[in-house]
Amino acid sequence: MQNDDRVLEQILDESIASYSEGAPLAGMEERILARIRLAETPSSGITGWRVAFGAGLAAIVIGAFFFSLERREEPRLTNLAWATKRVEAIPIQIAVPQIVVKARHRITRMTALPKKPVFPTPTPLTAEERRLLALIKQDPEGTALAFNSLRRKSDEPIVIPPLESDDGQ
Amino acid sequence: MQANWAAVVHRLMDALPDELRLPLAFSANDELRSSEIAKLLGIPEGTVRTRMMKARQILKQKLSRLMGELYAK
Repeated sequence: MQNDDRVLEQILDESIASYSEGAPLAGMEERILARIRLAETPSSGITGWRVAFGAGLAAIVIGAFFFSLERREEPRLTNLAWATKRVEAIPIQIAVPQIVVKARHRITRMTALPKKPVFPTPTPLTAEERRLLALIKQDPEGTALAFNSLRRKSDEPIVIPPLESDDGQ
Repeated sequence: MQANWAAVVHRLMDALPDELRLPLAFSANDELRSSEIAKLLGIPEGTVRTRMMKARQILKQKLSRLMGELYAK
């Protein structure tokens, strides 16, 4: 068994040693050249980091430059003036309730009301008054007697008879 | 007989994947050390040794099986 194993190892060693004799290994040249190129050029990873860091730094510098330019355009103001300006710049939209103040109506007339010559204003006669007037015109004496008798009756005291109940009280 | 087996082993080595074949070929043919092969292939030195051992084991296993079949007949 050990003998077989030794024979196997010997065959393997000799076969491997004679592998690709005279002919380059497939892919060997490419790999060697690739490694050489890789060794000659600086590490791409480090280069990538450097490029990224440089780009970031450049972006920060450019941003700071433009920011400073923008700040320079603003006139230098005192703190209070600056604050006031900033406040003015902010559009304030506050819904202010409209307070309606009702003015008191003072009775003030520039001109006086027209005065009428007869007060109270004469109103037209009613139908009853017209009939009475016609009666007076038709028989003035009789009408006067009738009025007198009525006046007398109205001058007499009013006598109210006592109330009588069923109980006799 | 030895020459025939060498040809068989070469065919078996051709069938190996590159990651196993190249370290073995470099070490045998070009007599490179593990550290040099590691630099060439861009892999750690320990990986080179491991791959060489694995390639040898595979070749030995296949060669043994082939020999067994041949002598069994």
